[in-house]
Amino acid sequence: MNAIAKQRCFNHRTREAAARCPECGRFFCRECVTEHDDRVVCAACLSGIAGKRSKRRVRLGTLKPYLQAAGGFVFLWWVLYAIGQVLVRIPSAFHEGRMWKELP
Amino acid sequence: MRKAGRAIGGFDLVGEAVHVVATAPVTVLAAYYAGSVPFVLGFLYFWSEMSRSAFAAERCLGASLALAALFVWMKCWQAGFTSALSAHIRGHGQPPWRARRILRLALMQTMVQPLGIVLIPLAVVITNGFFQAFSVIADGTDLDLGAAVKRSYRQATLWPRQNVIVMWLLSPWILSMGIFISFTAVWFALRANPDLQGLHGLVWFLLAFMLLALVVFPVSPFGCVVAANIAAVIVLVPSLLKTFLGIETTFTLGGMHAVLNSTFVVTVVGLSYLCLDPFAKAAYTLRCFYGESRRTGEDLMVELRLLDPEGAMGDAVRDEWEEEQ
Repeated sequence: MNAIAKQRCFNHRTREAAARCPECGRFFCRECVTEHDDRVVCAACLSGIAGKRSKRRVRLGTLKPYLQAAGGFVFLWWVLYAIGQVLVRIPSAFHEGRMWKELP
Repeated sequence: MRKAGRAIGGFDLVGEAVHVVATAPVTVLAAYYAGSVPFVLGFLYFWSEMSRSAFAAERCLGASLALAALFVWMKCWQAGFTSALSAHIRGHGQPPWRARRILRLALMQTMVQPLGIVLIPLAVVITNGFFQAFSVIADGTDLDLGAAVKRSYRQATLWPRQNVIVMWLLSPWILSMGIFISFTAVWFALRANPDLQGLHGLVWFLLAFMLLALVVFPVSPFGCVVAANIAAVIVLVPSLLKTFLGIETTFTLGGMHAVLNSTFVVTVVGLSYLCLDPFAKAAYTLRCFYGESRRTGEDLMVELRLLDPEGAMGDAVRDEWEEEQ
């Protein structure tokens, strides 16, 4: 049985373990663990988690201009569609100059 | 000589813009028209289709999508045009057009320029300068939207009097809005008072002409002259064809109806846009050049280069300036 009271720190063999990392399952002393997102994790796992997040942020950052451009294009499409709808609704007498009945 | 920080006059700037366009290589102007002509033709098709076709409502979605694509295409080419003009003004080559730069330019222009379609008609004096400056500044050399917007805003708010004069003389937007307002005013007058329809056609034509002169000429005098010339050519060429060659066209058969309809007005506005806008773009390219030169001193470097083509004097000044930095 691997009860925490009988375990030693993975990094410091002379110290008794104070916590078990839920990511890697290893035992660590108080100095080798830290709290992150309401969990106590070791330094190596924490850097792994942080690395994954920053990669995701970089990926989102690369996508941002494309998303903004797509938004701009959809807005433009919507405006031109609205102009088209206004033109459809305007009476043809306006477009075809039939307002001037008495023209020679 | 111009004092440091003081604006060049609006009329002088327009004169300089005409000179810049006239002395630029023909490929620079060709780049402008490669983008703008397809959009203007697309817009004319869109207008006539939406105003006359029996299938207008069904085709509206697809037609507006195609027009949106043509708008982005036009804005990208216009940004390329201002970039080439800018290089011509500075007297050195522009950064190479690699795929990455083209992509960045297309992204930046697509992000911001669509807003102009709504904002410019709402507040042309305030926003026109910004969108024109953005065409010059967002040339694809980087993808920093915040910085480009900030620089464009700074250029748009710089020297407001000069900006108003440039718009008054060259803005195709003011001309378009003036013509649109006067054309729509006639329609509203008829709706409000149907008895007006009893007037003879010639009286109507004179009234419409007077309205155009009263509304459009004060707000866009040069644009009005350009539009009047284009309208005269469109009307006179078919008449001359009929007189000398006996060829009948829609214009000669339609009489006044060929002129007093919305497609004719939009055609005149579209062609006027193609005539005026390159000069407006050149004027705003110069504005940005002078505006940014207040910080970089590049206008002085260009003048030095003109005085000393070998570049020795300019190099000495640049070295001195860099040492001081």
